[in-house]
Amino acid sequence: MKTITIYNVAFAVITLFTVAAPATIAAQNNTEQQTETTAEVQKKAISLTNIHEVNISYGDCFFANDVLLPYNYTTFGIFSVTYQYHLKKWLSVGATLSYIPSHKEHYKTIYDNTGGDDFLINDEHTTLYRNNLSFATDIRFYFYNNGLIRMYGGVALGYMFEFSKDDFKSNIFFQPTFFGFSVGKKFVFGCEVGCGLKGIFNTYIGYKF
Amino acid sequence: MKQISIQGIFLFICALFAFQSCSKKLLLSGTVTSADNGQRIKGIKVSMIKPSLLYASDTFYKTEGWDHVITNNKGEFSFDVWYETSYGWVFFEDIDSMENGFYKNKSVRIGITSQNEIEVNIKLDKVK
Repeated sequence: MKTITIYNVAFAVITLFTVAAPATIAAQNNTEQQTETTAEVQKKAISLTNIHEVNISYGDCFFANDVLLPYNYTTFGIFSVTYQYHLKKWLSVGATLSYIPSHKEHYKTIYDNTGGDDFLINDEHTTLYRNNLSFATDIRFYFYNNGLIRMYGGVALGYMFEFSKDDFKSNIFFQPTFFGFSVGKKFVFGCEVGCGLKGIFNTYIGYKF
Repeated sequence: MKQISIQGIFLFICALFAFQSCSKKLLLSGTVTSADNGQRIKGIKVSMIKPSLLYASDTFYKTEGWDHVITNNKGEFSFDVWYETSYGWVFFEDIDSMENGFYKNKSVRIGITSQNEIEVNIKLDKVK
């Protein structure tokens, strides 16, 4: 109960960052601009170009197969779409939508002696499918950013929905990104090491505008 | 300090990989019915016995400590079993004796290959 409460609070804080922060920053920029020199304004304009970033990513299946998915379900990867809004040179907030398709080969053997003295043995084989959709708000902290190369860490918090033929589940989840690296000014290529709905190793391509 | 952090991350990733090499789990389920009238029998102890435990045990029919479950009011049972071997034994024992009739113990040898689930529907003979 305590854990859920902390998660909910953190979720609210990150959501607040995503929604309220751009407006706050814009208002702050207006007042700051009045006191800044022309050179500073030009420098800031350069750093704040391409403040929107959209990424499409692929994450490995290891964490999903071992931890996220129910027993015996396997996936070949995790697909995500991420939007990031760059508030500062060292900070961005955004949202991520992830999808995990998975399946399970279900082999069942039936031993039955209710119809006679000997056991009748029947084998059944079916393929069961399960889809996993998650939405998260995330925040990134850039500890190196020269406009072309960026290195960062971050966290994401969100909800995960699991659909199958006869089952539906939803869970809150938390994903830390231990280390992320991206390169590119407009077209971006990057990779991340983390743990959660985007896998352990995650690689992406994106566009900044 | 930096080196320790990198080692920590490496060990964590290795631990996740090691998860996959553990023994496998299957669902053992089924029903127990009476050979006399075909009615479902509740209160039957169903045990899954693995060969390793069988050899380690000095008494063949001593099933304490093994994976087991008791059949419910509908005579149904269902439980998860971890295994590493290619076969095992499922034992059925009437542990409530005369409460709803007294039935003879029975066992069935099951082959384990790549199944996720094994269903055993069995009839037990009454002790005359």
